[in-house]
Amino acid sequence: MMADRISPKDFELLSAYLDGQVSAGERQRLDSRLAREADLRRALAQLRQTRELLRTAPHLQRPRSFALTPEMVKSRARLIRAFSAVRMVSIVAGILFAFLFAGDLFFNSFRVGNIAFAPQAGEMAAEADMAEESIPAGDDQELDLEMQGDETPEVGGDEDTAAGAAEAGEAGDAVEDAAQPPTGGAESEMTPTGMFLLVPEPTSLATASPALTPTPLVQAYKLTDTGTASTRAQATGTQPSPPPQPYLDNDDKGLVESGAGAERESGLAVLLLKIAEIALAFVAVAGGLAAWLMRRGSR
Amino acid sequence: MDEAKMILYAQNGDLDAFNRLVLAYQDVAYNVAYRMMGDPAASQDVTQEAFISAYSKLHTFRGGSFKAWLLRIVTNASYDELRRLKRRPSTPLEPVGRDDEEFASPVWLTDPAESPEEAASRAELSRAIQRCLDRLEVDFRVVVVLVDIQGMDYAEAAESVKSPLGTVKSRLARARVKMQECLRGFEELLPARFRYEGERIA
Repeated sequence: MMADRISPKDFELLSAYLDGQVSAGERQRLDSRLAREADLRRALAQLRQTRELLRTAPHLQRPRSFALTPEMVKSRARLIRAFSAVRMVSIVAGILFAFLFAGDLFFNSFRVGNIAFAPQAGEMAAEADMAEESIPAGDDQELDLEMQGDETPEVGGDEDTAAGAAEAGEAGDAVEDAAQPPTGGAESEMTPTGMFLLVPEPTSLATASPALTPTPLVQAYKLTDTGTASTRAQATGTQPSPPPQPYLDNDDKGLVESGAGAERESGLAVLLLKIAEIALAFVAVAGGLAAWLMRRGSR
Repeated sequence: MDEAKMILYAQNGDLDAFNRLVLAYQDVAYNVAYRMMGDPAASQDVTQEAFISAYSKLHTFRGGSFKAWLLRIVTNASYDELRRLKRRPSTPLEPVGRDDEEFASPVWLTDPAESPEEAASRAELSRAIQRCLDRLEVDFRVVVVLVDIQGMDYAEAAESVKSPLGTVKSRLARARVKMQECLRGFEELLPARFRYEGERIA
């Protein structure tokens, strides 16, 4: 067969040669080959015949005019405007969603990072030791929550100071208890929450000074209470006494309430953020789908 | 008609100016659409859609060959319609005879000096060409239609199909060989001067 002897490359060259689309060098080479090769000549003749046949194909008479009417243009313009608007809304929603989602991920990872670093037993114990050293040891007294209120103990002062030191010592014990790794049994049931809640305690105690504002001390009480009570109960095997109600004056109560309020507000903000994320994702997907359907429908 | 001026007016929203361009190019647009689609009704839809689309996209025309730009829209509209028909095949509205021949046939531009026999022969030839075109892949079909049937040069065709010149060149060569093979099957319909003689080359 001639097809076996003429390569597709030669056909391409012959086709371009017919249309005058070869370079001068290619033309010269092809001319010399055509003079030598009969198959190539025949192939060229047949290609020329096909091209002429196609060129004689009659043209159709159009059945009607395709001139545009204002209605055609208006309806298309409306469709294009609607399509553009829907697509834009979808894109904007998608971008906002991406920002919110990325921000959410970032802050979540930041928070998880804090939690992961918080229960460092060694650091906590060291900080607790520092707290014990910085405050003079006093008699073993009951936890006097009043001391942690607005009456800040003066270092080297009267019995308030001793009580404060005792409380600090006890709190330090609690920190140590909490910092010890669980050894099984009842003690090992201490919740990680308790450990986590203890984190700010040593710092606030270590920095306990006359200049200390009441806020960290109130926090200190809140943070140490759960761990201390449960740890003590576990150690003695007795029923834990009901947690002592903090004796707080109005300012402290306000602070605690404002803390709870802030927590509630933060929870609400997270909830709103999630709702916004879901809504934006929905708008982005629905808008994209609608734009795609409009585009398909317009064809 | 000053084409550049009409385009400028049309770009500024002058529908009458655009319609003058439509009048100038509607025959070629319809013929390209018909050769691509192979169906008169679908070709009308494609042509109309292409002109509406061209009007709304006219601001994107940055000079060059308006014919090539317009035919690109026509070929794109044909591609879209062919894809749509492939997804949702429909039966033709025209009545179909026993041998699957459609009764309704397109109207060809005729030479007044042509005899009825010659006109019939031309119509047969056109149908044979259309059948062979229909068997070609769309990418090959479009270059044959633009270069061999519409007489565009390679550069214009490349602009119309938005492909490199080399691609057009190789697709055209392969399409011509395929058309030649196909037309051999309709040799009895071909005028004597177009009958292939001798050994097949492909």
